[in-house]
Amino acid sequence: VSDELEQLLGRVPDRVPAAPPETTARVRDEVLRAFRRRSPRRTLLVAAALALVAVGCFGAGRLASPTHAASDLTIGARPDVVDTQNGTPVTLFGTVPSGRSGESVQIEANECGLSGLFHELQGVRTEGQGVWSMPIPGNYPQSKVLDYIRTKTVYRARWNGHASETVTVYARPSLDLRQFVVKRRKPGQRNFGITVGGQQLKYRKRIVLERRVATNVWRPVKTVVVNGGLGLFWARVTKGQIVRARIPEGEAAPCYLPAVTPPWTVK
Amino acid sequence: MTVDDALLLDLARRGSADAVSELYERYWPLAWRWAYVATGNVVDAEDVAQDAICRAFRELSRHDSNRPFGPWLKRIVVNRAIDTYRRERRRTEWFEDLRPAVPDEDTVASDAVIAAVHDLPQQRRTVIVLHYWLGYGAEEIAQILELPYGTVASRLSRALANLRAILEEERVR
Repeated sequence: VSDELEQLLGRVPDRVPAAPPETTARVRDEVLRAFRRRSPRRTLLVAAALALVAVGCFGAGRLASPTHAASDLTIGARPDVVDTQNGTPVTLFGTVPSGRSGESVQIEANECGLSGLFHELQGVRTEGQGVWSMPIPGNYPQSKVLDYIRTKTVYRARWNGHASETVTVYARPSLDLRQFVVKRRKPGQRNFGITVGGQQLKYRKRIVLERRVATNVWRPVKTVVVNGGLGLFWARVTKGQIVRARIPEGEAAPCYLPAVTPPWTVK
Repeated sequence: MTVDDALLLDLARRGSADAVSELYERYWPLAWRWAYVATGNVVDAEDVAQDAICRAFRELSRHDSNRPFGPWLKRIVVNRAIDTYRRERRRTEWFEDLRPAVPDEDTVASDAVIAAVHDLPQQRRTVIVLHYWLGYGAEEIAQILELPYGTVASRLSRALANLRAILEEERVR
């Protein structure tokens, strides 16, 4: 009886009738109306932000060319944070307002720490429903055209004289902490080496060595200035203590996100 | 070409009405079905499904982009149905729209099960609906109803025993 009962119970959802067509249409209108109600406000905010940026850029003599946002020319990136050490592949994607396939879309990029201007990256063609996508490889060199992402990069799409809003792909720098054994200078001192990856993080960057004092509570032990991406230092930590290195937000900005190494037990 | 949900969700978050429309086409039938099995009648199903799907699109930014959209929407529908159920008294119409004009053997058996579920005490009926009609496991039901796992398991077991007894009684008659 139990099996039969469970089978009968399981079949009930299959008998559910479809939603009445008039309900489906009414709810669709309601959803889209509610969605569009939010859009004008969003568009105004975006327009205001673009105007501010344009004024700022014009003042600095950096306005490359006049652009305006087309209403449904969209761009997105997945994922929007990459790891510069392991090389994270990113896919840029979006739509064009016409919704047609075969349309030409130019993708432009502006890398942090370089010229500050957008430059053309590559052209793509839209597919069904006006959707386009463009993969960016995770490691160099996989493509002669596209570089991999090494720093925070802003992208936008250009179609038919219109420019989309921008999308930013953030970069997390690689940080590597190693302990190495040399003749100790004093009892209790340990020697470490730290490397920082990231084109814009090569010189005079302050890295903090921290030790764990309680769960999720870290206390700074020493600040190390890294030059040329490498820093060698000693610190007064004891065997068994858990340490990590951290590049704070203030040091990583503007081109990178802050980063920490995995916790390391002192030997 | 079928555009995957994650891409459509990203586009919707960036303001694409086309993406919202496409997502609606994909998920409205499901939302409706979940709402119907949770409420048992067209009137409440309409209210619950509409509220849930409007809320889902309004609060799209709260959806974790690493997780699928369907289960998230389903949970909104279920929570909304539970709220409705707590606020209002149970309606007498219960799966009446399912009754075919010309019933066959299968539908008669299925109707008997539906009627038996309707006759269960409310707490037991809820776990049966969540488990067999909405596909939730006991642990998920425990989370939804904020109950210990053991309570849910015991309610499920007792509800099945009740159903069995009701159906046996019907057969004897």
